Amino acid sequence: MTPEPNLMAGTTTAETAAVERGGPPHPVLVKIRDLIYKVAGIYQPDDKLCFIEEKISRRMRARAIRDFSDYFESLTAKPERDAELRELLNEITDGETCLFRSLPQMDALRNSILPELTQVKSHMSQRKLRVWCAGCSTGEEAYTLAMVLADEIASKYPGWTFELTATDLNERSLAAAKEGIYGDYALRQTPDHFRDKYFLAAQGQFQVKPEVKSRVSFSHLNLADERKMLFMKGMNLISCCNVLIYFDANSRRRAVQHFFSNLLAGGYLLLGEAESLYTFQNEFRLVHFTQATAYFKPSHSSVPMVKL
Amino acid sequence: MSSNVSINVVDRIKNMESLPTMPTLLQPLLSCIRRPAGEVEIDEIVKLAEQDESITAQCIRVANSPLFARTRVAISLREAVFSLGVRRVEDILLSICVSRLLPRDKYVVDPMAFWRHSLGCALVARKLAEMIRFEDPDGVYLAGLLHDLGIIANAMAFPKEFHLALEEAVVQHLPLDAAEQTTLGFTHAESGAILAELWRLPPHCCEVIRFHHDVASAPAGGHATYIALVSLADLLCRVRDMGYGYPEFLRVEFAAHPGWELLMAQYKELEKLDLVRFTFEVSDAVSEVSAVVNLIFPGLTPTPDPGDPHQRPN
Repeated sequence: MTPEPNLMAGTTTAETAAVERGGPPHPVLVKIRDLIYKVAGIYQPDDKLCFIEEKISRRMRARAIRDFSDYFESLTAKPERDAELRELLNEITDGETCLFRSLPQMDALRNSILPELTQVKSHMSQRKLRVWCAGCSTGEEAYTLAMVLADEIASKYPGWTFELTATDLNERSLAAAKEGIYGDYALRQTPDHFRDKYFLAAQGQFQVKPEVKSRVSFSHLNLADERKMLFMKGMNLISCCNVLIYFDANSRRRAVQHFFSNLLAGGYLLLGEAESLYTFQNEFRLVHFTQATAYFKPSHSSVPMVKL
Repeated sequence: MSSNVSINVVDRIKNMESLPTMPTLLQPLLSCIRRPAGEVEIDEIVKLAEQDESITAQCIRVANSPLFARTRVAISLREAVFSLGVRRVEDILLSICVSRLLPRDKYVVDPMAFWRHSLGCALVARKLAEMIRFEDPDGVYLAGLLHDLGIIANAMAFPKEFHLALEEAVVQHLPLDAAEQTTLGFTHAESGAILAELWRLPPHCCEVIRFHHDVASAPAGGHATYIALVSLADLLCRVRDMGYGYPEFLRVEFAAHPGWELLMAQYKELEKLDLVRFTFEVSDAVSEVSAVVNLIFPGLTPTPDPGDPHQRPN
C-alpha cells in the first residue's frame, strides 16, 4: 500500500516533522499508520507518530519482535494479523478516553448542530431531542454530551429537552459509567465552567452530579445485534467515538447502516476525531465544521451548503 | 463584480494613499512562472533573485525550512535551486514578493493569520490540482497565494469601515466577506479584482480573486477550474486552523459545493479523493506553514487564533 502523498511536494510532512526531532521516521511506521487507517478508519496525525512508535515498540517487546519490518509483517500476514491488529489498536486507544475528548466537536455541536436540529424540529409539537451514545464505555462521552446539551438548552433553547441513551457491550464498563467517578486525568480537558458546575469532589476525585446522571440512561447493547439495533429508532444525534475501529469491515458497514436508519432526517452521526467512514460506501453526507467533521442524514428540505 | 462597486470605490482603491509598490522582481518572476518548467534556466532564476539581496537571503532561509528542505542544506541560492528545483524556488520567491505587498505597519488583519491562510490555501489548492491531474498546478498555487489580495486593498483604502467589518465578523463568528458586504457594501473579492487588474496580474488570478467566494457566478469555461480549486482550498484551510485568525462557525458540505460539482463533472480523479484523510493532512501541514510565515516575516510574533479557546492539545 502506498502512503498518500502529503501536501508538500517532494517530502512528506511526517518526514519533516521527524527531521526536526533528528532523523526521519522509520518508513515502516508510516506504512503502519496507513494500514491502521485502511483497516480501522483511524488516522494518526504527524505529531502523534512518535506516540504510536512507542505503542508499537511496546507490542514488539511483548511479542519479542526486534525489527519494525517483522512487526509490520505480523500485522499483514495471516493467521495472526487480526489478533495483533486488535492488540495494537487497544494499545493505541488505551487510556485515551477522557471527558471533553474533542473540544472542537463539542463546539460544532453547540455552534452549528444544535441550532440546526432545533430549527428542523421547531415546527413539531414535541420539543425533545433524542440522543444516543453508542459504545459509551465508562461514560465519559455520554456525560460530556449530557453536560453540553443541558448547558446549551438551559441558556438558549427554552421549552426544549433531551433524552440521552448510552449503551455498551461491556457490563463492567456500564457499572463504572453509572458510578460516574473520574480522576484528574479524565478531566484534563474539561473546561472549568463544566468542572465547577457539574461535578462534586469525592475523595480526591470528581463525581458527576445527580442532576447530570439522571439525564443519561445506561443500558446494555451489542452494536452487532441486528435485532436490538432496530429498536433504537428516532434519533436526532448519534455519537459513536472510537468504537467502529474495532469492527471488521462487514460489521462496521452494518452498524453504520443501522445508525443511518435510526437517525431522523436532518440528524447527525459523530465519530471520534480521527475517524473516517471513507473506507466503505455509506449514505451519510460528510460535513466539515471548524476543526471537526460529522456525518449528516439529509432531510427532504435541503440545508444550505455553507450555513452562516 | 465591479458593476456592483461604485466608481468612487474604484477610485479610492486606485488612489490609495500608500498603494503598496510591487517589488521589481514580481513581474519578471511571474513571466518565468507562466512559462513551461523546462524552459526556465537555473541561471535566469538566480540572476533574477540576486537583484535584491534581502530577498535572496530570505529565500535561502525559507528553502532550508522543514516545509521545503530535504536532507541537504542549501547555503547559496544556486544550491537551493539545484536541490529543490526551479519551480519550488519560484514558489518561495513569489511568496516573499507577495508578502511584501502588505504594509508592515498598517495591519488591520493579523498578518500571521493572513499569510498562513494565503500560503496554506496556495499549497492545498495546488495539491488538489495535482490530485485531479489539472494541467497547471503552479498557476493554481499562484492564484491561491493572491486570492485574498482584496483584504489588503480594503484594509488600506477603507481602514475604518474594514475594521468595523472585521470586528463584526469576529464577534458574530461570520465569514469575512459576509461582514464586508454588510459594512462596506462590497467584499474583498471585488476590491481585490480591481487591484489585481490595476497591477496587471495574470487573468486567471484576477478571476480567482473575483469569484473565490461565489463560484456559481463565475463565467463557464476559461478559468473555472482555478476558481473551483482555490475556493475549495480556501474553505479547507478555514475549517482547519488556517483561517482569518478568528473562529468562524462554519458548516461546509464539500460534496455539495458548486466548486466541487464543477470539478466532479470534469475530473474523474476527484472521486478517489478521501476528503477526511486529506483534511487531516491539511491539519498536519499547519505548523510547517506557520514556520515558513515566520521566516518570511522574522519580526512578527506568532499569534494563536485570537478568541480560539481550543488550541489543539499536543
